[in-house]
Amino acid sequence: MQIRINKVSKKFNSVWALEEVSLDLEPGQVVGVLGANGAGKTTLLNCLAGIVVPSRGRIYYDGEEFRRGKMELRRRLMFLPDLPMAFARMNVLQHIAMCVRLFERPEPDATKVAKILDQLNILALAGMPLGTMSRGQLYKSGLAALLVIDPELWILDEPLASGMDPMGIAYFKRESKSAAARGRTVVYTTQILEIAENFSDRICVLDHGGLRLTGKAGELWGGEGKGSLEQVLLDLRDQDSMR
Amino acid sequence: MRVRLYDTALVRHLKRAAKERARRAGRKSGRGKWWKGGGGSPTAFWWIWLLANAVRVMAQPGNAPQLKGYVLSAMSLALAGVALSQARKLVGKLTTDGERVVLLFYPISNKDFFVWAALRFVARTVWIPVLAFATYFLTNDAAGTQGWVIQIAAALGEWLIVLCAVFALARYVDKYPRWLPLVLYIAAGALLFSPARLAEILQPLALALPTGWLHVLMAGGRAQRWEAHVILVGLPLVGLLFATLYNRLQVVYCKDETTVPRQEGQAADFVGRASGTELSPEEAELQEELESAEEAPAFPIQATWQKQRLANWGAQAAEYIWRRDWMRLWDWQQLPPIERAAGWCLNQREKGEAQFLLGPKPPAWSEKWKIAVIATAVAFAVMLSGLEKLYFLAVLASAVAVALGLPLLGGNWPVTNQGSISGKLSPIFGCYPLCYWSAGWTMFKLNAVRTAACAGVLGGSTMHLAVFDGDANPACWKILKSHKRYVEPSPAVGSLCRGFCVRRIPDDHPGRGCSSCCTRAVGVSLHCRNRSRGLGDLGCLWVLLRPRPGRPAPRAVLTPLRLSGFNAGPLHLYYKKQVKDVLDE
Repeated sequence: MQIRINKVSKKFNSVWALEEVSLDLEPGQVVGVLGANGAGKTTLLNCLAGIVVPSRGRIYYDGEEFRRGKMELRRRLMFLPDLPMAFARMNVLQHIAMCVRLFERPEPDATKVAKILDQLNILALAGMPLGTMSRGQLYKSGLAALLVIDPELWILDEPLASGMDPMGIAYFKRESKSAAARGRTVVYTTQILEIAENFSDRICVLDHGGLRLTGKAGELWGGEGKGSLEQVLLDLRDQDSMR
Repeated sequence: MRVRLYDTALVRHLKRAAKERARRAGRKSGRGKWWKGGGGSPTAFWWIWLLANAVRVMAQPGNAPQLKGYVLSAMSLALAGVALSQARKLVGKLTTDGERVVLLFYPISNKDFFVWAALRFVARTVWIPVLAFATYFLTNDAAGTQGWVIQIAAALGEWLIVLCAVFALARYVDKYPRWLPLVLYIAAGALLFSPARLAEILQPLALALPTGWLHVLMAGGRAQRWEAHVILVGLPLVGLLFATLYNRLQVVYCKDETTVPRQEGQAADFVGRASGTELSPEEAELQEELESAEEAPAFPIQATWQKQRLANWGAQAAEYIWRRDWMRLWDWQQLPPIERAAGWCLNQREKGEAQFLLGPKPPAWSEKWKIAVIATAVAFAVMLSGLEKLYFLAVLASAVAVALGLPLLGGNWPVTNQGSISGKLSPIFGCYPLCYWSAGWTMFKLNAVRTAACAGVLGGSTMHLAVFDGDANPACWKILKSHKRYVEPSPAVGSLCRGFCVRRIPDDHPGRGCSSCCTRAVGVSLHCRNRSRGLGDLGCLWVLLRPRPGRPAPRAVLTPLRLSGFNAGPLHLYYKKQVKDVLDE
C-alpha cells in the first residue's frame, strides 16, 4: 500500500501534537517511528489508523484520500495500540473471530491459527478470557489477530515495549520482515534504538510534532560503522539547544 | 500509628503551580464553572432535601407534630439507605479504589492503609450529624441549654449509629442488592410528600430501623424529660459499639494480607513447620488467627479473583481450534424469543455487526422481559386489590417493568465501553472498521424489536396513569407520545453522544468520557419537552452538538441538518422534523 502523508497537523486543545508532517512510504517496508515522549508518534499512528482526524492535511492510501468513514480503506489496515482494544470476557479465539468478521476476511485456516498461537506461546491460553491475561499475553492476542487478518498496512504502537517475552518479539520481527517481503507495510513506534537500527528499513524521527529526519536506517548516520542512531538523536538535541 | 499520606501544604503548592501553568498556557481553569461541578454529590442532594423540609415544617401552622413524625421517619428510612450505600463505598475504598491500587506499590501495611482510609471515610460523613442536627433543630421543641445539648447529642448518636451500620455491613455488601438503598430513598421521599397514604405502612418500618428509636425519643418535643437521659446514656454505648465494629473490621481486613499467599500455596506452611521445628508462641498465635480468619467471609475483590481462576486448557486448545466453534456466529434461532425475533430482522452481515455491538455474550432481553411482565402483573394485582395505600407499590413495579423491558436511552452497547490508547480514552470500536451508519441501523432494529416486545408492559404503565389521572384517554395518549419521542432518537443516541455527529471529535477524545452524562441529559430534555417543547429540542441539540467541553460552540451548531447528514437515517429524519418544529414555534 502506497502511503502519502501530506502536511498533516493535529491540534489537541491548544497543543499542536503534529505539525505539517509530510511523508511518502513505499509498500514492502518496515518503518520505525522514533522520538521523545510527547513527540507525536502515537498521534501519527492514530491519524494513519483513522482514530484521530487530522486538524489539517490529508492522508492518501494508494492515491485515495483516507477518511475514517471509508470502510474499504479501513479494512486494509489494522492498528494495534500499546494495550489492545478487546472485550475482557472474550477469549483469544473469539477475539480473532470477531476481527475476521469485522475485516471481512475469509474464514481462517485452523492450522494457521493454531500455528500462530503456538509460536506466540499462547496456544494453551486460547480459551482464557482476555481480561485475565497479563499485558504481554494480551498484546500477543492482539498480534495473533493481526497476523491472522494480515492487512496491507500494519500499524503497531510500541510493540517492543509491550510486555512480550523475547520469543514473542523475535516472532514479531520475523513475521514483520516476512510481511514486508510480501509487500505489506509495517509502521511501528519504539524507543529502543538498537532494535530500530537493525530491524527497520526506514526510520522517521519526530520531534515536537514535526518530522525531523527520515531515511533508510544506515543513511541517517552516513553508513555502517560511522555512527549510530543514538548519536544522530543526540546531535538533534544539541541543535535544538543551540537555537 | 498515625498515617499522613498527603501533605496538605505540598498539595496546595502543586495546585497553585498547576493553575499558574494553565494560565500561562492560555487555558481556562476548569474551576468556578457551575456546569463542571461533577454531577452533584449526595451531600448536595441532602441539603436540598433538608431545605425542602424546613420550608414544609415552617409552613405548617403550629408546627404540626404529626408532620415532624413524618420527617423523622423519612430520615430513618433515608439514613438506612445511606448506611447501605456507604458500606459498599467503604468496601470499595478498602479493596478496589484507585488509591488502594496505587498504594499497593508502596511499603504501606494493610493496617496503616485501613486506619487512613477508614478515618478519611468517617471524616467525609460529617454531613450526617450536621444534617441530623438541622432536622432536630427544626422539628424539636426543646429550648434552652438542655435543648441544645440534647439536639447535639442526638445528632452525634445518629451519626454513630449510621457508622456502626456501615462498619457492620461492610463484610456483607454482596449479600444485599445494589438497588436496596434506592428503594429506601424512594420510600423516604414518598413518605414525605404523600404522608397521608403511606404513613401507616412506612412509619412502623421506619421505627424498626437502627435510628428509629432515636426518632421516637426526639419526636413530639418530649426530649426534655426522661428521654433525654436515655439519649445521653445511649451515646457512649453507641460510641463503644462503633469502636468495637471498627476494630473488628480492621482485624479482618489486616488478616486478609496474610491469608492470600496461603491460598496461592506460596506460603502454605510456615518455615518452622516445613523444617520440622516447633512453632514459637507468637507464630502459634498468628497461626490461630489465620485459621479463624479463613472462616470470615472474604472481601468481594478476593471472591472475584477466586472466580477468575481458570482451568488450563493445555492440549484441548488445539482440538477446540480445529472444531471451529469459535468462528460461528450466535445461533439466533436457538436464543430466547425476543433475541430470536431480533435475529429475524437482521441479515447475515448485521448479525455479525450486532454480535460486535453486544460484546462477548448474547443479550438477556427475554429474561429482563419476563421480570418486566411479572412486575406489571404485580402492579395490576395491586391496582385490582383497590387498596389506595399500596398504589405507590404499583407505580414502583411499573417503573421497574419499563426500566427492564425497554432499551432506555438507546440501550446498553458494550462496544462503546472505553479503553485506553497511550493514556487517552477511546471506545472499543475505535480500532475496528465499524460503519457508523450501518451500526446505527442495526441498533435501531434491535431497539425496535425490544420496544415492540414491551408493548404489553407499556400498556400496564398506561393503566396506572389512567387510575391516577382518572381518565384513560389522556393517559394513554401521554404514554404513547412519550414513547414515540423516546423511540425516535434511541437508535443513535448512545453512539451520537460519543461524538459521531461532529467529524472533528476523534474517537480518543477525553470528552467522550462524559457520554453517559450527555445521554442522561438527552433523556431529561426529551422528557422536558412535554412541558416546553421548543426548550427541550434546543436542549437536545445543544447536548448532542456541543463538541468539546470548555470550548466555544462550533459553527456546526447553526447547521444541525448538515451534521445530521453524517448519521443514521432515522436520526436525520428526526432532526429534520424537530428543527422544523422549533422554527415553527
